[in-house]
Amino acid sequence: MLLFLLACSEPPEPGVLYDGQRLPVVDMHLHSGDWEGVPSGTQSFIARNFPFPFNLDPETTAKSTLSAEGIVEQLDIAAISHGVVFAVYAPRSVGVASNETISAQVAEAPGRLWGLASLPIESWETGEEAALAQLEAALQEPGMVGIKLAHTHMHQRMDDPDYYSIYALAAAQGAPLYLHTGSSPFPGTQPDPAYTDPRYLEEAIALHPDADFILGHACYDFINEDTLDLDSCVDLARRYPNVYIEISALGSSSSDARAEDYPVVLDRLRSEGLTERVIYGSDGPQRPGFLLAYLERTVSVMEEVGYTDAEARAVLSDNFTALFGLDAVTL
Amino acid sequence: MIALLLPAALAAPLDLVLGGADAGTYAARAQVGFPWTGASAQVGVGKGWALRADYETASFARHQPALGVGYRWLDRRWRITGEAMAGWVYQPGTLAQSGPSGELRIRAGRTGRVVPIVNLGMQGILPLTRTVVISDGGEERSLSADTGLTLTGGLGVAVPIGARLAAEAGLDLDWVDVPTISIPGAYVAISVAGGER
Repeated sequence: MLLFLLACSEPPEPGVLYDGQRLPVVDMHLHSGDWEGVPSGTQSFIARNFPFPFNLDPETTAKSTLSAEGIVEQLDIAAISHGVVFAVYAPRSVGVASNETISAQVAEAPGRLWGLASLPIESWETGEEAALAQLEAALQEPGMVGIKLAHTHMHQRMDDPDYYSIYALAAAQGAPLYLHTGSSPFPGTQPDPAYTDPRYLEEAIALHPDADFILGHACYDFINEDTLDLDSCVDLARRYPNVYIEISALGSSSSDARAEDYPVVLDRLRSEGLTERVIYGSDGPQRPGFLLAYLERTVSVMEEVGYTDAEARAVLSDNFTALFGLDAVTL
Repeated sequence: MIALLLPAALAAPLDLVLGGADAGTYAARAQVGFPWTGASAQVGVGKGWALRADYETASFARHQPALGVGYRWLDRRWRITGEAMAGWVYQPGTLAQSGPSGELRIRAGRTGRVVPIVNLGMQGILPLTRTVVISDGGEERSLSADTGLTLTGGLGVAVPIGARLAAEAGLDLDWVDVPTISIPGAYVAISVAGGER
């Protein structure tokens, strides 16, 4: 009923109130795609995160939030200026959201959505060239501004030189790379450290100084719900200027039910002097209302651990636009 | 979840509002709402006891038929009744589950022209999983049972309309399949009563 009322009400004033100032927000981590492209085990995982009775028909619920219209509606509810939707090629875990699907969604909402392209690696030995060409072509589409990889979902070792051609293409195209780091709660993922701990990425980062690496989820361990791998993220960001850290999902009520880890992470990033490298994202839409809830929690934690207005603005929008070469978002 | 059966005796329809029944009376009730829709029937068998049958469905995607008994414990200005039901839960789809269920309910209300009602309950489910493993050694079948818990609750208001009818509206506050988050629901219902005490 609350969601119904939210949907019927006028969109709120854009931006989020922080210490008396209204700041623009970019959510750089959103998912889309076709329900049919998600493996059954992951469909169940997703459905269990929907509240009753929406979990009884998760396909309809998912479609309502995974469409461009649904995503924009959720952005409006949260007063977020822009969102970034990810292409995904992970048939053994979270499924497939093709570059074509994502670029079509970006085209549906060109003023609100940007996209990250990806590529299939299932037949890498024989299909590398074709996959890279596919990725390069996707990056030419309007609004497709970067690349998404998820080593644990795609079963791709972080230190495997066979995949360095992707990073070289990112550098050549000026397209930042978003990488899922830390473990994943989804079925079918590869949980070994070589797939989750960005220490294994160091060689790739060092060899590709012109490629920008965004370490997603701040290396959070979603299986054990701990921040042990945050050290890897912080260490790499301190030593390499082409490393950024994104903070989605780890602070959600389901991942951090005790509300203990998110403050630790945000406080650590600030105390390490890394606020110019931290980028906001939610990992939504997940369920109706999630984007708003995650933003509210993030702002609350930032205030709790003492982020200044300027630091909050940087994290919530400016760091993203600067890295991706986009105009700063104004309200 | 069906919050209440509203039987009504011929001369005093609210005598049976809160469950239980006198011998010789019967009642039927239909509810529509979000997410729960359903129907119930009840027959009084004497000394405050009633036999009842329920069918309820959540968004037509979770189905719960059940049979059971009701009993009226307290019958003064406030009335308190209880029910014990046994049935089956059938939920196809992505989160499929199917298995026997048992439910205990208690409800209370104050009699008058407008009858406020509160109900609480607990439903246990044993979702059954049939597994068939086909290997070189042949086919192996097994059956296992999980456990599920639903806490039921609701608030409603009933108004008698003449001697045989009652209208009702209320909120469903069930927590279905704990710990899954549940969104509150709402319903309207109408009951028809008959028979003589």
